[in-house]
Amino acid sequence: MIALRAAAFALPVLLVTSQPAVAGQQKTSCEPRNLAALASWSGVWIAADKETGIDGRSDTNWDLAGLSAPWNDDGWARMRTMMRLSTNPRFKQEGWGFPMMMNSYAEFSFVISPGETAIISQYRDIRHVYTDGRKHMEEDDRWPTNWGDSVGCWKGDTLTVDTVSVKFDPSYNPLAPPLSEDAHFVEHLRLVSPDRIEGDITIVDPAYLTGPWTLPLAYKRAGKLDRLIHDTFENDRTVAEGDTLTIAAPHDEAFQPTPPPPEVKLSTAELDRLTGTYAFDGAPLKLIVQRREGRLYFEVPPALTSFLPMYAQTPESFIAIDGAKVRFTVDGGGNVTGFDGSGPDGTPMKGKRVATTAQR
Amino acid sequence: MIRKIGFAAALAVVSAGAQAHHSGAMFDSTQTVTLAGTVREFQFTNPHCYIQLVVKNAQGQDEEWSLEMAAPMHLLRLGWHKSSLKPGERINVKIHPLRDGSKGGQVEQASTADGKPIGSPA
Repeated sequence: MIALRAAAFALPVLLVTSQPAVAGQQKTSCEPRNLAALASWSGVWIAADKETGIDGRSDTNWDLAGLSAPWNDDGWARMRTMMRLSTNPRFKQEGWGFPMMMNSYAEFSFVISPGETAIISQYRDIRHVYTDGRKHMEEDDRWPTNWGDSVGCWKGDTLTVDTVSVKFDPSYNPLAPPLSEDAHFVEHLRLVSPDRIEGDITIVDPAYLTGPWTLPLAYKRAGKLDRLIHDTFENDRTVAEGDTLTIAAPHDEAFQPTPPPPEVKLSTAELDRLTGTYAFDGAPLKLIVQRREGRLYFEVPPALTSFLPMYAQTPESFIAIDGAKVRFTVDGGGNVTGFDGSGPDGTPMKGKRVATTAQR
Repeated sequence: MIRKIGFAAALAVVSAGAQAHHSGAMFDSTQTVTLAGTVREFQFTNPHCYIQLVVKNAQGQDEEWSLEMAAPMHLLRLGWHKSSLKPGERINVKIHPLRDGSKGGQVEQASTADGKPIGSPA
């Protein structure tokens, strides 16, 4: 037990001292010395043993989810919850987050620039690894996120990434190691051949691990894919039914055009008598009405400075494209003096005509 | 047209999470059903692609199956494209069926009517 504790203490020290880009060495150059030499990192990569078949399944051991971690009793208690959540028949996942995005079946790319290496996953997970020598955000000012705060350092063809403030967020992805928000991650990645990157990740989390947890990482080129295409939920037909999920029937395109309301045809003279500038009662807004061809258009500066169509219902009543209803008011002499009606959300509105021309 | 093959599957801990986006428990991975039918639509969409396959049942009536596949990115890696299947095309598929008995499943293999595999690694 004593030896184990000693080892657990020694390794975090080793991790910290082996991170050239980490706190305390601000602006030490961690940028790639020869960016062109890293060109082979471009392209699309995938974890070497995690790729799916056409079914979308990957029958692999999800070791980075925590199966091989040296949990303490509290950690195992969190694993019990994680396992319950991730084996729930109604489990759904919004992304992978870190660290799982580095060990999933989601294809990803490295985008290397002098001051930053971005790691971008098919699942829209993005890690910004700053290599310009900056420190982590100050501890008092940072907060845990699904991807953490990463700084990195290039040494030759090896990228070392130091990550803190990672959030275990089962609402985003329950299939992840339930570490504390104080966990500290260090990755080493190296291009070992044109089509393979290897390295390791070491995680230190005194709250839930009995010692450092190190796993190998390996990536291979994702076939001959020449681009990354991100996932969305545009056609998510996986729906809950009872205590499980099923496939919903195919549905028509959800977005459908809304035809304009029927409108009455007004003469040019009938439309022109309504054009001009109106001042809203109780609001610093103007309603400016113009005629274009055979229809009125309106804008409401400064809130709305684009002219939108209004559809005539009577010689004085109109429905705007956004659903607002406008009725122009006329005095006993037949002069148009103002308007009343309701906005798109039904809020009553009213105003007085202040000019027969557009006055912004 | 519909043939069931049962097989034993070893279920690892958290294997249900190995299915993209959602639990794989909705599919019965101990059963494989072979379908021969006509493609009505190939939805090359996220988060999953789907084959809408019209299959004749034992009574000779047409039934439409909704067959889930991986996301487009994964299918592209495996040599599938948006144009890999066209409406009216006859294909054979092996699927893990939905547990709830609905006409649907998860595509494990797909081939043309004359038995050629569809897709080839990119």
